[in-house]
Amino acid sequence: MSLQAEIAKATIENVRSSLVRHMPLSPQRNYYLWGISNANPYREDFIQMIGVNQLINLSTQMIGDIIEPADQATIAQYCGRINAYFMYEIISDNLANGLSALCVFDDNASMRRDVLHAFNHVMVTRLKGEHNDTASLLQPVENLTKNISCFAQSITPRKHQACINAYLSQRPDVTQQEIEYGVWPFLVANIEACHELTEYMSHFQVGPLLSQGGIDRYQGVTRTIQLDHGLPLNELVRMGTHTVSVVPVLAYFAGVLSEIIRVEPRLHSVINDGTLADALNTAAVIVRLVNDVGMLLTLSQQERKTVFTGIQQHFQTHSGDIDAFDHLLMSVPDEYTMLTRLQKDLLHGEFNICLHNLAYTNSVGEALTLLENNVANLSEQYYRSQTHLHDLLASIDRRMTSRTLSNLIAGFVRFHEMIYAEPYNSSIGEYVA
Amino acid sequence: MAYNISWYIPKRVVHATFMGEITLSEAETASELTAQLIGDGDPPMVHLIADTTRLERFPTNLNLLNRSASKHLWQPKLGWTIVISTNSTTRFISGIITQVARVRFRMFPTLEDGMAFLADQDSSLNPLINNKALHAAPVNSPESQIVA
Repeated sequence: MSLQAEIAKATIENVRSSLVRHMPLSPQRNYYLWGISNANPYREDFIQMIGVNQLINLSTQMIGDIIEPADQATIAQYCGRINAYFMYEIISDNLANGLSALCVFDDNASMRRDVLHAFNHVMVTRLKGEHNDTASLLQPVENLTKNISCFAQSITPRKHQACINAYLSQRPDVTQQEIEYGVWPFLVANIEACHELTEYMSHFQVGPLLSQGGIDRYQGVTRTIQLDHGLPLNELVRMGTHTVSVVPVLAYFAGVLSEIIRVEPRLHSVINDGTLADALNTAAVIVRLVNDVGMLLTLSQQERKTVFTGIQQHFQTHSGDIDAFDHLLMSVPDEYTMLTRLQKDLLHGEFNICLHNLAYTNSVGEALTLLENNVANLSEQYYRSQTHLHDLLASIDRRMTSRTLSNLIAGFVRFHEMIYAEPYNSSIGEYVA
Repeated sequence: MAYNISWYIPKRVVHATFMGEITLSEAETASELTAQLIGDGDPPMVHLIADTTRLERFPTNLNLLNRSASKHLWQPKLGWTIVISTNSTTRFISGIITQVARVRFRMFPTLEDGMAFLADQDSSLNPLINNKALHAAPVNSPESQIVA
């Protein structure tokens, strides 16, 4: 069996196991169990839609070249565990869609913000070991979640609709309403799956990196959804870097590969002096930048000028129709998909380090000028971070007995540079498209 | 404001008409009603004709429109979406939203032009359209829903 197939099998097994162990009894749980089963005629679409396919691709790409064939089956199980947790992350992450500074807030937005506040708080306290009663602590927001459509919050509502139609045709006793407006059980399962993973890894040297990375992520999300003013670009990058989940994922795989599968005797040296933490954090900066800005980062100054001149010309030609920045960026011809990451976050109202400050400009023209400056500055930071990461990985290589760690980190960054260069609504350009 | 969601051709073509000023909440309800009709329609495809020639103002925030007022665009049975309008802002916004949702979309200045295009695309509609021309439908059939 290929590594990809092995990871896919283990991921589905772990998703099933997590649904049963971590998610409260609910129509959502039954729906997902059905969704990943062979009873679902749209099973492949379902697995793509919930992000599992792309998580499998990420795992395969990250570890494919750095593991021994004999370890494949064991490592696939570890991939499956973290992939099951990330399936829930995609759902809770979607709650923040429509909460960026550029969005017009409606009543539903403030409900989602309240739900996310509660979720992040319960998650952080769970990771700090302050309680073991997630469902009770999330109970106060259960009713609020019944106003939130998981489908509308996702970026693939049409696929959700096709799958739910197939499910309802087999289960006439269930209504679309109870599944579509039922995010609460997923939030409970998300916290429990994260806690289980963190607790397991706490027995290894990477444990503190993983748990602190998780805590930083959820506290960071709370900060971004509270943010109601402009910030310096470097501060936005710092905030965004915490929310992107790179540090905990890489810490997890570093532990699996260098402490569980093949013990790396010198791992402690790069942990103790902060080199590994620096490398993971730098990888997180790069992934955040490509997630938010995409291919624009890689353009030369002249190429960037050409792109922005094109946008400016489009604005002048259609100035009668364009009265907001989202209209401009969503309507401009984008032959080489340079703008796809910006378009995704504008359309779905996601926090974006390059776009955030545009909310506080006074005109479309002013916003466009600021965007061009932001892209230029972030592009410099991207290349600086690339160089820094290269140096850190070389330093790690010199001190370790194998190149496993550096290849893991480099492969992770490469995977995200690759997918975020593709149109966000293509099956390889985003986790759930 | 008013909108009217009804069958133009029962189970095959939904006719949505918008007038005056429409709020986001109204757009959301209209989208849900349209989604219900499409869901109840005959497979494989139910088409939508949205007449906005008398629409004066409507929400233009893309994020809100995309999340709250596009439920009809999720429907797997949705075939062609035909918008009747000569307004360039309507063309602009409709074009973006339908492109994002990846649905088949065209815009025409008159209902006749839109129906001619639809008949051309879906030949199974031809006898029904011809029949409709012979027996002009009442504006408010029993199946229609008007909100004022």
